[in-house]
Amino acid sequence: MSKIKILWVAVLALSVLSLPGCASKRVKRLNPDKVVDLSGRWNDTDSQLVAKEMIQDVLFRPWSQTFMGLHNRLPVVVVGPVTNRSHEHINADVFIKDLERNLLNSGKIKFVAAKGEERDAVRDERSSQQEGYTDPATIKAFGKETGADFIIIGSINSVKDEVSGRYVILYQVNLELIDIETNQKVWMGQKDIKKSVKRSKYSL
Amino acid sequence: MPIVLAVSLSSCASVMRVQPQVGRLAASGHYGQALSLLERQQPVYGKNNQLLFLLEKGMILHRNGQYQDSVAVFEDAKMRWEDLYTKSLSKITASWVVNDYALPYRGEDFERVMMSIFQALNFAALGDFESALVEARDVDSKLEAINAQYPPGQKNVYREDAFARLLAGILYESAGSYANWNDAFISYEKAYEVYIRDYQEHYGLEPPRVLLENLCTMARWMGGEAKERYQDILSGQDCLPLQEKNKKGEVFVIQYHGTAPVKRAETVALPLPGGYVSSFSFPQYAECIYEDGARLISVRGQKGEGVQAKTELGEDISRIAVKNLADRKTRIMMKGVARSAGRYFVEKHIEDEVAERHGRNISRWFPMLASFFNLAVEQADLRSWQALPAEIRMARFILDPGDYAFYGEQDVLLGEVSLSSGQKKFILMCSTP
Repeated sequence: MSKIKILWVAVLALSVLSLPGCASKRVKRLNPDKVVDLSGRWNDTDSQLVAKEMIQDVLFRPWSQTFMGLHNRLPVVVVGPVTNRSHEHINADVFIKDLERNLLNSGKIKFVAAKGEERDAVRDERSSQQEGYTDPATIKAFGKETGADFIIIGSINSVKDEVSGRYVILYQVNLELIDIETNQKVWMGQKDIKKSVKRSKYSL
Repeated sequence: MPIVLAVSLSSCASVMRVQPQVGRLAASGHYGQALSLLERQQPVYGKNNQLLFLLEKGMILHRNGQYQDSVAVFEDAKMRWEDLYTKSLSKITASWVVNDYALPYRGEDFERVMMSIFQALNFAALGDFESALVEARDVDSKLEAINAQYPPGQKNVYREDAFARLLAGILYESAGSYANWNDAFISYEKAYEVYIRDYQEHYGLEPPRVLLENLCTMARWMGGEAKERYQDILSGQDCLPLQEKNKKGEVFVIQYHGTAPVKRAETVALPLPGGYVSSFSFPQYAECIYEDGARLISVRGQKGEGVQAKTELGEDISRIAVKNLADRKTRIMMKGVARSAGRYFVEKHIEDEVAERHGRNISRWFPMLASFFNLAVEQADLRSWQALPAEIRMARFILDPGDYAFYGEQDVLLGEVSLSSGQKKFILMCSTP
């Protein structure tokens, strides 16, 4: 077979290969701790890293001991807004819930329901208990909500530098614990995550 | 050869049959029908046109006011766009043999930015300004990446988007902190530069009044060098100081007018030695004529007070699309010519071999068959995002806190808004030419 013919056949074969074919789907369970980076965007591993760093930091700082020494009770915390100032949509709830759960389970901090959806759901339930369907002995009274001592607020920032399919991105998550009465900041946590992502320009 | 011919022709023909129908239905405001046609015909889009399908669907949902659904579809499109960064060598090869339909639709640079603009407007219409700002920052990083692709001097007009910068400025301003106001000033400044430098020259578009007023407010708030820099330009501008503006509310009426231009094929036949005929095809935008899009918007408050303003042009998508394609025309045509020449070279050699083995009586039919193949497979890539409007227009109202009703022409109710101090709201409307 001449060289030209071989080339022609190869080109046609590649063309046929490139035309839409059958796709298959495979699903497998993964250990949630396993690091899987697909797109280079913010993912579950980043959320876990932030939660882990923040939990360790907030638990071992002296603010809660100082509070207990002064008030002889556990501090009560409410989760406030965590503002996304990055360039991609990030669900802060994933690491905030991790943080909340670990702090609550440590037995050193109490949490109250956050403003918005969470608190509204509790208040709706309390209101519905007053509608005459609930055993009077078990109805929860109005005006007994616990006021929080501290609020956690925070922000997620990002800086991206991109050129020809390669980019470096820095995510910075900042959380602050603020005394609601005095506005004093009693703890500040920060976690930086830096990624370098390279995409191939060509594939077969 | 017949397999390549059959599959390539059937896949591109199906998409090109559905696309104009979807575009026409969207343009005439029949969004429900456009959506059901699109979903019914999803299989014909196949893997190569997945991005196109998502863009059309996201835009129709957006125009139909289904903002939450549109958000999800545009997010899928964003992921798809990232996947398409890696180009398949086999598909590139196929595009050199068959035609550009063998390549996946990867959209134009400006379409990438448009998607973020509409996504930001989705969030703004839902009142989720934090997410709208995420899109504004994403536009910034996209424009940086687009700029990095082209060395200075390379012919490519679309490197910046003035309307995207203006929208980002409005969103930063709405976030209300010193850092955000500073970002708002930078965005307005960039928008102004792009309108003056690029949009005036290439699309004949002046900076809209909203931009001049907002730039005036923010430059005066910044003071110092920033204020001095715009002293001459802004001296005639009537703008509220930021503190005064923040006591009021703002409503932006965003109007989509007309339909994006449609590509048509230009084909040039090439008679070649030895009885061969080949051709090369390239896309060209059909001139799209539509009436002036300016619409009078009226606002009525609870006390009966009324204000009126005309929508002004912020983004001429139609002209951006035409100019963008014109910039690439030479490259597309050269590829078409090279493809035809390559085919001829291979076909001539095959003919010679056929003649050597089976004689001239058999081989003399070969040029005719090859010519039929050449003419059938050579097709201009006519794919484009057809649910896009031709123009984005805008009218802005600065109002005291209170309840207002907004009307378009012929007293059509566009929306009712309850405004508080410092609040910004968006009303989106479509007008057909």
